[in-house]
Amino acid sequence: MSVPTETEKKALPALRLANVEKRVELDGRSIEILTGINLEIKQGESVAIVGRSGSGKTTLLGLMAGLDISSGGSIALMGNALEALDEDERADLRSKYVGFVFQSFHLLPGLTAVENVMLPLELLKREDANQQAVSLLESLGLGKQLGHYPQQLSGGEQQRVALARAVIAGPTILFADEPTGNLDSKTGAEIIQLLFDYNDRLNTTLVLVTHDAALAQKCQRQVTIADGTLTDGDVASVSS
Amino acid sequence: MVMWRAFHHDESFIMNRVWSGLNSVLWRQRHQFSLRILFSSIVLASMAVVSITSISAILSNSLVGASSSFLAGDRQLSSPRTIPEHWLEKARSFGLSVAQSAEFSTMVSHQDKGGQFSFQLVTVKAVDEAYPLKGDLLVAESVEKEAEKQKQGPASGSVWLQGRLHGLLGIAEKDQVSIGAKSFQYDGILAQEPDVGFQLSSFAPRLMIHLDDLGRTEVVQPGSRVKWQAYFVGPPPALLRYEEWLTPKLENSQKWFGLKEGRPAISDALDKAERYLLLGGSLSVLLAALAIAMSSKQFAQEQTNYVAIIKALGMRGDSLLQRYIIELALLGAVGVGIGWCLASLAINGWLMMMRDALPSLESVTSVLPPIRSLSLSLFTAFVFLAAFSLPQLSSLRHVAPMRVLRDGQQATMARTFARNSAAVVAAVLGSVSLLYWYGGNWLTVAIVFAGLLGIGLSVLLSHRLVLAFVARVWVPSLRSGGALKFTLQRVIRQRSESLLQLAVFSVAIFLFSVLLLTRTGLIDEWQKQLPDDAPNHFLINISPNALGPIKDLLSELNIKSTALYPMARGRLTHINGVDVKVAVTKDVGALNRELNLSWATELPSDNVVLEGNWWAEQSNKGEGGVSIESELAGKLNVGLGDALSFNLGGHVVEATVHSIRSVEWDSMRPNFYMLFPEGALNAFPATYITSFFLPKSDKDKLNLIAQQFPTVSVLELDELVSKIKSIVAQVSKVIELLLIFVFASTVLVLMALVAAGRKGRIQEALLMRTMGAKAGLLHRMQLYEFGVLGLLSSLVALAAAEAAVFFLKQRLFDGAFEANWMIWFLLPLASAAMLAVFGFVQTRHIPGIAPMNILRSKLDES
Repeated sequence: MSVPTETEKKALPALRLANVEKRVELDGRSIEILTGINLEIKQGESVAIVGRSGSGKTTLLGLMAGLDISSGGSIALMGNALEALDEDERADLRSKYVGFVFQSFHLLPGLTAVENVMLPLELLKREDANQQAVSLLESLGLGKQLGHYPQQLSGGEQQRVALARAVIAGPTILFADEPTGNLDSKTGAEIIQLLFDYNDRLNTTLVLVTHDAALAQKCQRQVTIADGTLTDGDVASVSS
Repeated sequence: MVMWRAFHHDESFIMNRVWSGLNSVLWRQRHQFSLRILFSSIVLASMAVVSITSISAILSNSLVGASSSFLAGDRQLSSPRTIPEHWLEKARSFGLSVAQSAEFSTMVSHQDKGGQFSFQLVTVKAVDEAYPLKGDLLVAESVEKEAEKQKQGPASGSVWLQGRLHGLLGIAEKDQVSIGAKSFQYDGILAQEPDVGFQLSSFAPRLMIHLDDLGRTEVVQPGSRVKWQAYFVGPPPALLRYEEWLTPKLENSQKWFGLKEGRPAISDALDKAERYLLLGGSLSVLLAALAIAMSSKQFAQEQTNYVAIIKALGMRGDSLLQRYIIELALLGAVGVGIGWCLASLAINGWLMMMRDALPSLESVTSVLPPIRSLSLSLFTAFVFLAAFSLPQLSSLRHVAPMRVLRDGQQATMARTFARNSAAVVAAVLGSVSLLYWYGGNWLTVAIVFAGLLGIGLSVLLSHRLVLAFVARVWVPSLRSGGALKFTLQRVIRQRSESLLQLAVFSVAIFLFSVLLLTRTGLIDEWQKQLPDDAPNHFLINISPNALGPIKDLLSELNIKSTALYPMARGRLTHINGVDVKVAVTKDVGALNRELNLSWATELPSDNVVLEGNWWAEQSNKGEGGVSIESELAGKLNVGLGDALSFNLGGHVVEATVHSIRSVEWDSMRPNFYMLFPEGALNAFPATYITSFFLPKSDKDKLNLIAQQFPTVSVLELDELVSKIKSIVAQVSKVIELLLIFVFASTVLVLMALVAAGRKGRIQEALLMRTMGAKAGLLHRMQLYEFGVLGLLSSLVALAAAEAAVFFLKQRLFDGAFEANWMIWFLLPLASAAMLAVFGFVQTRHIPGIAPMNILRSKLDES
């Protein structure tokens, strides 16, 4: 198989899911969490995955990001079939293409704001990690909080630092898991605005899981999941 | 009222639900790593207390018992006059067993079959039927036969002679030997007396008779010089009571002594071992306490969510605290019980293994640790549990039920703990009092706490300095994205976490190093005092014209001897012109007899000049000078420049004190109170003395010496030397066992620390996994991090430990401090390697945890 050129890469869907299934074994019984998931997300698109608690949203997000592997079907992230890769190869792929924003921020408590943001660049062995992180945080209005530890930051500030950490390496796809779940509405709105700004400016693909209907509406597409299956979305585009 | 009842009913309903839901807070969390470590710490603390108490008891019962055989009893009373009978009666009334002996010098004669008389100056020891109360009296039927243990001395009318006296007098079986007016039947060869000392002043051949025969010899007359001795055996409290009764009645010339005064070398080894055991016990318990502190803190932190939920359900903080206290007390009691059982098994297993190696344990069949040790370990466990767990658990009362809804309340607990200074003080006081109770003196407590304080300061300082160096010099030179760079950055960035790790690692390694260094020092010191080839035979009475032939014979027999020292007999008569009887009011043994005066060009190898200079460093090579042994100088109150007069066979020799020397009397080499420069005593008749090591298998070489040089006396001390060595070896083994305990405690502390940081590590690893870090990178980071911390903390710990050992040696073990440079190389490497492997093993599964868990926040269960 030849390595895709830059033009071919740009033409690739960011994510393509075909007949994806996820089962878990519990007390000797097999429980279906996801069945027959077909979905394609283009580069630069913003997609909201909505559904009730326990419907399988987070599981789907984890599978798409390569944090877990499916029990059946296939998932291609930027043309790479995740089920064919081992954990380290999937980790490689994440470092190249993926950024994450979590509901509970997951900032490392022992690191300052700027050190948290530098982490993805350091993993990519970039020497300019510090300058990049400082300038990004300054652009987000956190210039005075560079040396603050997470516990010294407000919820909104923590999520902005987490957002900076997610985008600093220039990911192709940004996954967000209930990004405003732990924030008040005003701060939540600011974070959402920033997320969509990145989506617009850098043509980053945005995949977010949310309960918030208003937030979902801001996305170009909404995919609803219920009882482990997609009830709407562009199933047709995959099967065609 | 109705409403109140309804409310009350509701509350008790809720409470019942909560109580039954709680059922057992701790049992339900039995899989929690920190709870397991907490439990293990209690078990180990209890094991340490029980084992050390038991081993100390075994030590004093068997080793001290075996050692007191050197005195033929637990205590001795020595007197130049007969010991009043009512003193002995009093001892019996206190429940003590009593024996008596009398020792004096006299001539013995023997008439051979041809009617020829031969005479010999001997030391006679007359003993009663109770002698010896302790130790082995060995007698052989004839020269060819093996000596056998005797329960008591010779029967009235019989005599036992030392082997060489047998040769000197030419005695045959059933011959008669006369002492004064009484004839004795020769009945056997005296091979070993338990309490025979090594004194050059009494190297005449020895024989033993019954005390009842003493009067019949008519040798002892008023004014005769006789050393009367009484021996006492009994339980220590009775001995102490008797000592209190007796001491005020003693005159200057009467001496009451135990092992300490009678056999300083052995008593010193046992004393040091006992102090070492106590120190080791304290440190071991302190380490276990550190593990309890770490794990209870971690456990309490892990309880925060649990407590928040229970409080949200309606349980009051105080009731919850009560519940925790009760269950922790139960946990403590069960842990102590298990520790006690394990310690019993361990001690008995150890006894079985050691029985061959430790002869004095032969009589100890099995040991049930004293019940007292159970109460002691319960006390220890409760003190540390209360001191270290209660502040944490008490702060849980303040956890807001709101935490159920929102994260980020950890700070509350930390602040509460900081404010709870009373609890911190209680923890420190608890540690201090237990340390004092174990160590038995404030000095140990002060030195250990000063060491800990030093560690605190060194950690703070080195943390800043070393990390500044690492940050400015090392990190920039490393490849970006490499595991080592990540590790170092982590250590630098996570300041408070790495500071805590560094401090705890340092404290653990410090406590272990103190014990390791003290042990190495002690065992080395003993080894030096009594090396494998320590002299165990003396040749005495060598005439000047036999010097050359003796040297030739020794080298022919392949025997390496110490130097040959000349000896002239002389009495110290005046100090600065004043008669010694006037100048010295104290009873000094050396003044009551003739001293062996010697001369030497070189300072004997085990002597150290404390004041003044040795001959070679003096311009006149010491002419007109004398060098005096330091203890005697102290007793005589003699200093440099004082004039001493000696009487040698009616001639007076004057000398000025040019130097004061320390002498190792236990080194088994010839040593002298007075040393003159070469040639100073040439005008006086002298004999020579030397000592050498001879293994048991070469004993027949002695016969050759005796045959060729019949006038030379051979003093055989091999039994005594091997007994001392065996006791020292046994003590060393006990010390090594203790070191294993302390090592186990150290490992436990490290486990507790790793457990404490486990949740954070999992969170970090998962996050890095989501960002694309590979498992290999995370594995290497864990390995490097513990390695780097191990290296840094062991360097800090070693510096503090060397300082503490310096003081401990000076104050507690009374020995010279010697820096051990090899350990500076080995310990940091070993610590780094051990911690790296240990940390890696403990955290190796972390990179394998599915990164998906981060989305589910399943960090607690991971």
